[in-house]
Amino acid sequence: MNPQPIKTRRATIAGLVVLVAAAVVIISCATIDRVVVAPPMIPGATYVGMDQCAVCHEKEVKDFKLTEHARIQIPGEGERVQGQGCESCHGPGSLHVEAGGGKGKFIISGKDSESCFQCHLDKKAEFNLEHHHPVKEGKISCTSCHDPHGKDINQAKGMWMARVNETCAQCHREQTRAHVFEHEALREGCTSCHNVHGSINRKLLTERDNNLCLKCHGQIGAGAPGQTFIGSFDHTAFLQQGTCFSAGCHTAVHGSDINSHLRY
Amino acid sequence: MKALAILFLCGVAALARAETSTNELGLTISPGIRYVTVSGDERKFREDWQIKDNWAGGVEDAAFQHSLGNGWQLNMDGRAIFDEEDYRIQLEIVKPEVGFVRGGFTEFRTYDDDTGGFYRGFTPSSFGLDRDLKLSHGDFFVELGLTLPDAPKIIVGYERQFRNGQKALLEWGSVTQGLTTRKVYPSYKDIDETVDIIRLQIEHTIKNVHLGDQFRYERYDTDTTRFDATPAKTVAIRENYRHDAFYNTFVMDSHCTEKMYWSLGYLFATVDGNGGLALATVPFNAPFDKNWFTRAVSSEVDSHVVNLNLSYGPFSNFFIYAGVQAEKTKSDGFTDAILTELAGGGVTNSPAALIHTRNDKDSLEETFGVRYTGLPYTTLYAEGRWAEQWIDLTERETEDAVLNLQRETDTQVFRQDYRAGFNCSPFKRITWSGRYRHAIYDNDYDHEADNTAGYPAFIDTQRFITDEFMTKLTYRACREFTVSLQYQLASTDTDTGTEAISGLGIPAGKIRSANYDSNIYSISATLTPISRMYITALVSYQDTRTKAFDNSADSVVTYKGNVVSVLGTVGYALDKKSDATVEYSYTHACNAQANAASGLPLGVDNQRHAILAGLSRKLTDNMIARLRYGFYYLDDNSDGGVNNYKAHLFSATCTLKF
Repeated sequence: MNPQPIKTRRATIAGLVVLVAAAVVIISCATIDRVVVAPPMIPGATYVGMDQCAVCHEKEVKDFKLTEHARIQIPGEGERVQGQGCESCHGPGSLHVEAGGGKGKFIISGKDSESCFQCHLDKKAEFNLEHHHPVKEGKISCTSCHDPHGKDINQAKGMWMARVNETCAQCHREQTRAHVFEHEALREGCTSCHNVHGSINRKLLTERDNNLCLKCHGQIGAGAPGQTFIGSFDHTAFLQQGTCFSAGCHTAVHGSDINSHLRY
Repeated sequence: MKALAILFLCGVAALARAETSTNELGLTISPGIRYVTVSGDERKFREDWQIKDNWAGGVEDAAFQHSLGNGWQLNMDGRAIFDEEDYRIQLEIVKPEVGFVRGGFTEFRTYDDDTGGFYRGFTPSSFGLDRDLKLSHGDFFVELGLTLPDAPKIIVGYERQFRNGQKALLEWGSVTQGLTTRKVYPSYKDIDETVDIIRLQIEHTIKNVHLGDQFRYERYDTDTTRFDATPAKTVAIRENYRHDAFYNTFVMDSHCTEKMYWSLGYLFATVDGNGGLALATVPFNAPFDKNWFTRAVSSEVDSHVVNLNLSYGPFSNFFIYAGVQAEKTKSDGFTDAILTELAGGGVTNSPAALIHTRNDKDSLEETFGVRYTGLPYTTLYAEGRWAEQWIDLTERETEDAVLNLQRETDTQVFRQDYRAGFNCSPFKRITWSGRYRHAIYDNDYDHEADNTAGYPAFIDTQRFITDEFMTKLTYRACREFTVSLQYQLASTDTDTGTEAISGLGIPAGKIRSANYDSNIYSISATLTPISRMYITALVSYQDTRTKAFDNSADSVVTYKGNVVSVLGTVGYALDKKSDATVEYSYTHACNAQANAASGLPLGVDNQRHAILAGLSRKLTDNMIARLRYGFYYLDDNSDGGVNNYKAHLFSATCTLKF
């Protein structure tokens, strides 16, 4: 490990001093009656129910029962099931209603991924891994890939109807474009090899080593134990040097225009 | 870009000044400055946190709303961090039930580390490119819309997306020391990519039936070069590709009654692509060195997709839905190339290769689902999805008119995907949910003709069986405390049937080619112990294991390990005008591999910490100042510490409202 340079240590100390000094000045006031809430909640707002939402957002409320998210709506009335439907993601709507509505006025935007993370705990953790799509950096949001109002059925919307890899293809054209030789794994979907939210592995790979390829390209016991055939070709020596795709061999993993073995 | 950003900000400021006299201004602007100092691997820090070291500053956020009169509204918002090339500018002029004009520009960078693999037996154990690998992503768009009531809604738009720069690859090159060769030498890729998109969308509702048509023309143009290197040799693979694509989707849907909804859609897509590839080895001096180039590469794809869907709620607490989708896709590929290769004894061969491929795919998908809400505080649901595909693939390659590849593969695919679950509130303060998924994917390959002697096409059948289970319990003990517990299990077995390879005495048969298991445990809590303070926390633990069939090869070890993630936030109101926040995140990845003697260990064993502390104070009614300090730390054992770093971030921001 590199020793910490003097310049960095000074910067650390200076930063801490500034912070502590600022804190001392700020804490000079004693008692307060402010209320803070954990994001993405809306301070001072209360739940109003979907009927209130329907006054302005009639189509969205009407369509809600068609969405996958309708599954998480628990039927019933009263405090026990408050915050269902629209407000389960967009937050309590009383202040939004009082303000007469308006884009972003006292309402949690659909682009605020923190709202999704209230339920999708595992995805929040995955976005915190070393390699991840830049959601927490704010460059894209969950809605860049997922339609939270999307219907259970194959809704014929957008330019691609519900076809495999269509979501990824909107940004990753180079990987999903037609090649002269295709890699059949793409028929199974990008998620065959990639953990699309986040991974400890580079390129969001599900497995970083030869297991990734051998999952599908395993060959019935051929040769002596320890000898690994892929089809009729003995790969034993190659597997010792690295991974099929990263050892400079089958580098055109998404498809090739020139080599049927996806080598270039 | 800087000029555009400055122009935008000046424009906002000018409008702000002009508006001050009317007291109707809605301008918020947050100028800020940031300094990051890194000790250790700066490039790895940039890759991990996607921010650059040293100084950066500009406007973190700016928003402006202005009434233009007569019902028209101007909305602008933006962001411009100079030296980070992080820009976002969006402008909208809108009048409800009349129309809108929207435009915008976005650009941001992603960073990659330039280090390749790590092999402890080598000196040095890893190699770097000494390159700052960064890739700019962005888009520009303009959109006009007509939204008159009782008239068709029309939107016309143009968009240009781009990517430009360099990124790291995993195509690592050979390093040989003594008798040992391992592929650890890093590589990278130059990317210059643009996409021009023109789109037209028309929607109208006639007697409760919504009709819509979306047309999109797309020109995609990419020019990339991969640099696969070893310490002694570089293989540069340059590919350019361009396609013109037309897509048209027609949609009809209707809530024809209170209980019934139907939709119908048809998509036609055609893609016409052409490109080229040039592969150059430098120096070109050893057997199997290649200098390849193509004289023509083309690909064409035509798709027709149609779907029909129905949702019906015959009773107030019972809802069913069903859908069917059919697809017919044909694609053709062609390559004309010269494959120059150095053979032994100083002989160079340059065969002319002609490659034709054709892929015809027909598929049918069906969906059926039910939802029942008749039980108190309970929703039950179940769904089945099925897909059948028939794919005819023909591949043919000649080299100097001699048949090199002739393969015809008929593939039948059958997919079954079943899900069932519930969401309920068994007690007043508790919600509980669970779901189960069972999926079976079957692929059956029939190699009607194949002259390649079992490589690479040797797979006869493949079956993926996946089981997933998830349950989550949320307990709202009181207004001040909520806790959620979640558990997920995922398991996939892959069975592969392979052909007999007579020359090697390999019999036909079936193996369990892979087994994957994963458990994820998560706990999340939100606590408000006093009204001026909140605490949120998330702890997640995941263990994963993938074991693929390797015929007991020592070089391949089971991919297994675990990851712990901790995320926490504390917010505290220091006084009427001041807030403090502290955010902490931690990950510990532990799946190191010990196969150095016979293979290349590729597991990860590292710990990452990040703390971000902030203070904000409302200085006046219209001004909030924020100070932030961040500390970032990486300790990586799996790469011998070569990527370790410690970093400090200092930032100051002031939000002004006018």
